[in-house]
Amino acid sequence: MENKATIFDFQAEVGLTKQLGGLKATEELIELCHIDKDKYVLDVGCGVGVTPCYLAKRHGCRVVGVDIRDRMIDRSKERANKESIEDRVEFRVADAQDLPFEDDLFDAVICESVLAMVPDKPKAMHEYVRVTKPGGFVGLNESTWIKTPPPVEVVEWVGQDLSGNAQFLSADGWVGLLQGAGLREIVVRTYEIDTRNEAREILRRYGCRGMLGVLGRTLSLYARSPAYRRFVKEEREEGVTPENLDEYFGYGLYVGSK
Amino acid sequence: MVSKDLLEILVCPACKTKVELVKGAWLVCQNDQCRRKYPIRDDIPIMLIEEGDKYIDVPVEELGTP
Repeated sequence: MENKATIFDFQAEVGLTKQLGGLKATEELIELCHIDKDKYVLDVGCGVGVTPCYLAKRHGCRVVGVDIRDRMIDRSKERANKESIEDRVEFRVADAQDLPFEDDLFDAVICESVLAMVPDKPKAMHEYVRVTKPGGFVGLNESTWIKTPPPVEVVEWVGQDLSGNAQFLSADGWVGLLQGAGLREIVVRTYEIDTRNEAREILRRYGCRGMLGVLGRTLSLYARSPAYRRFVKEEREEGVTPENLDEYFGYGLYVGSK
Repeated sequence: MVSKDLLEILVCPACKTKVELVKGAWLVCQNDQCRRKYPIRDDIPIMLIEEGDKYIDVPVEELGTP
């Protein structure tokens, strides 16, 4: 992992992935997608498996999680084993743009803070819709420009640790993707970032013991990985958060029915 | 161990044809024109097209441990 390591490689190592809005946003997305214990759910870009495990444990449904990084899937399986829910969650390494599932399979497909990083967004959206049952739901939580156009310094700041791979859209842009993939009855909810709430939601999502594990793995990674030390140093040098960040950058929940 | 249920719903990510479990460690696309083969490593199927591409020309009988 010394070559071309990205923030996602580091996240997989320390076992921490996050999306704006935290667990509260995940719960809202679950509700908007009408997910309950009888539903079969796909989580695209599941990261370290927090949402699939939460869905299986809290809502009792069957879940498949996919991520493009095998290290993330390792972490997801560890989490499922630890939480004793291996019988209800399965994980696969797969690309959002080329899903390895048959048509009309899932009651709901959810995707949290992933599509912004996918190069061919319309193709991925069509895949989400293809594997969703007629009448089922596709739900996204995506970072959103809540006021446009965003100033250059804000665009640069929010993209700094994503190696320039992320492309965030306005709410209209995300809605256009859902409509273009043939989804109907689209629900949109956009939110500003509440920094204090973000920290609280990360703690809720992982728990105190989980966060101690993340901290331990972060320190261990810092000690043994020159690439990670470089990454942290570059992050520090990127400068302070733009004062007008909250004015332009937020997140949105976007749900449509097939 | 890959669950039988999930095996039944898996398709080749490239051509969307069913895949078959071979030697307990490979998922082989059943489309003769595609011939992609996806390895299962540590019980995790790697269903990426670029991974399947690597084994297109490897005959099924010659597939080793992924």
